Amino acid sequence: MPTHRLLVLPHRPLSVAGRLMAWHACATFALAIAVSLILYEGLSRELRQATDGLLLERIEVLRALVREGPSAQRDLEWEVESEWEWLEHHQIFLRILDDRRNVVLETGELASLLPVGLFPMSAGPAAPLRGLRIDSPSGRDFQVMAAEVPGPGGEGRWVIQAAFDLANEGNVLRDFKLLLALVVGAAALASMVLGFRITRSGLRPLAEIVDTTRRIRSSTLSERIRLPNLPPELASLADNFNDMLSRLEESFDRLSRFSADIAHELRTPLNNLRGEAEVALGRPRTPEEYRDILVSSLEEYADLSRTIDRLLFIAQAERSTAPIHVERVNVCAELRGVVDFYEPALAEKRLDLQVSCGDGSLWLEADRELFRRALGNLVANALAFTQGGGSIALDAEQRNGTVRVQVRDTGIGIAPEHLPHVLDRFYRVEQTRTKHSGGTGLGLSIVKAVMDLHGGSVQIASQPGSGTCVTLVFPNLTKS
Amino acid sequence: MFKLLVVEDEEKTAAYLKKGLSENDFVVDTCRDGTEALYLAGESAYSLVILDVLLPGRDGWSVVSELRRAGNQVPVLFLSALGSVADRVKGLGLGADDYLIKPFSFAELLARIRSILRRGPARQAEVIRISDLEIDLPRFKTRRAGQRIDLTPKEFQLLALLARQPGEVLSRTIIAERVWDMNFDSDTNVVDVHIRRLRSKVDDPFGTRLIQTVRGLGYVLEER
Repeated sequence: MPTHRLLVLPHRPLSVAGRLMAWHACATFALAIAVSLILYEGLSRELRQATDGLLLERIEVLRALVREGPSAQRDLEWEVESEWEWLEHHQIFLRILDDRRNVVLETGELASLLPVGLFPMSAGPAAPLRGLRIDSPSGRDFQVMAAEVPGPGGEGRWVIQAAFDLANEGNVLRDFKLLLALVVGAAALASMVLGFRITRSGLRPLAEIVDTTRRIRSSTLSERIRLPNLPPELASLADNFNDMLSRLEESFDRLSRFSADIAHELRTPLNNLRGEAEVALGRPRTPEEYRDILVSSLEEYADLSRTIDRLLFIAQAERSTAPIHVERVNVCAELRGVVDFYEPALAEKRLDLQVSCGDGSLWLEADRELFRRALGNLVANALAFTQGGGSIALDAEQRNGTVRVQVRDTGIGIAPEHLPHVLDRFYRVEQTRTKHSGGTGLGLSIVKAVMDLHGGSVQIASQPGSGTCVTLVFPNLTKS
Repeated sequence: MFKLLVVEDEEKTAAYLKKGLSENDFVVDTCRDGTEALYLAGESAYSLVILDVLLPGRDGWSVVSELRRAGNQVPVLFLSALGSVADRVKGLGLGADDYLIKPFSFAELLARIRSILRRGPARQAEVIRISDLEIDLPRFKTRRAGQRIDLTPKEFQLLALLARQPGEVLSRTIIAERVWDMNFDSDTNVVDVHIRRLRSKVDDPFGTRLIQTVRGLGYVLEER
């Protein structure tokens, strides 16, 4: 059961706004995190280099003092032991080792915080000095550096060890991290809110389009999406939608016009029948009178049947459901066959008739009966609309892979304003229904339907007062 | 005397069919549904069954298939409002002999019934004589009161068509169809012009008319 299927609702997809917002927020979040990581990394590298610089500077000072030997002993002591007191917040610790790696001098707590062995061995005097981060047993973090320097007076190889307490830097970095986290969070939040707003306002035209479309009913097909300044993507959507509406409206119009036409076409003969019958029964009449009435009704019935048949044929052709039986048709033979039928009527009206179709070797892939039908309708029209003494010409020729069959007359012609409509159902140049000239107003529609079924076309050229020329263009089906 | 069975559920249609056919010398039974039709067709020998397609109970399609399955070869003529070629092909494929689409002209129905009933042994005479008119079909020659009449091939075909079914009214549509192969709603007034021409050769010089106009129906060849 299809209803069961409907009940199994698929997972409801996220709205476009929600989706855009989510992606937007994700992207912003990722970007903020990436930027934060880079900033954080940069800052910590910067700090490390600055610390290295500080340590190097201290080492250079000590190196000079060590080299000077005993004369600089006081300065050295001052530098190593007392400096930390006022530079406490710098937290630089120093230690000097002699040739035999005995401690000569060291900053107060250093012995307990960082034993000698924790320092890296210097690679040699030529190696560039670089700080190393280590955890001291005390639990505090240090950046340490060691340098081999010439002893007093350039004798022997002493070692200078320098350490920098990273507690402060840690604090700075921790604060920075916190700040970054805040910034990332705020950015994500802001991007969600902004993204929501932006997508909402970006999608507002879409919502308006949806509103407009929702309002459209079969009775309001003339409505169009008229929104100024639509973004190009939506503008093309709206254009396509409007085009579709135009087509719908057109076919709807055609349909309702068609129904109205049918009603009208059927109403007139029905009305005649009814009226005649009522009048006939109004008083007793002679058998002869009754017979006249019956004959007249019979004519109306025949008209009605014909109209219905034609309409059905046209309707089928329009839906391309009319079956067509294509065979090889000799164009000349069919032309002559149709002309044979109309010839006496033409002669009676003193119409000159010319048929030219080459040497009879022109063949066409078509439905023979439909071909004759189209041709018959055209000749009947020419016959009806050409005054006595005029002429009718039938031509057939092959041109550019098509077979063209032309019916020309020197009749009353069709005014330019009617020309585009003469192929429409029930379109009559004269608005009144006249038996001799107009027929049912379906003849040319049938011709067009026949040509549509063959994938061909009808061309009409006309000059009021001097004649009409109808050309049937058949594609040559043999080629395809 | 031919006995026909009309199976039609629409009362008015059944009534006028019965009336019209009886007046044309057929014996007509009618019934209103497919089951009854099968029963009746089994009971008595009909010359032809005229069958509507849309019937209550058993439809016309299944009546034909059942008749044929049971070995009953009675000719069947479908009358139906289902007018598509596919329906037609289906009906004929099931073993019906003809298929007529509603609305149809009664004259055409008569013509088709006669044509079905004529099929088979009856052979067409080679020379048809009606009053003093003599039509030699194989030689394409026409004489009246001993005088030769020159007819064009189409005029001859038209006269032969009327002559083959003397006393039977032929509608303009049938005439256009049989003689000129105009199998559609052609301009039937043109047929009148042809008849007028034929009359000018066959009737006018001889005083008495043989080609008669039946108002509202068509033409018939007979002496009156």
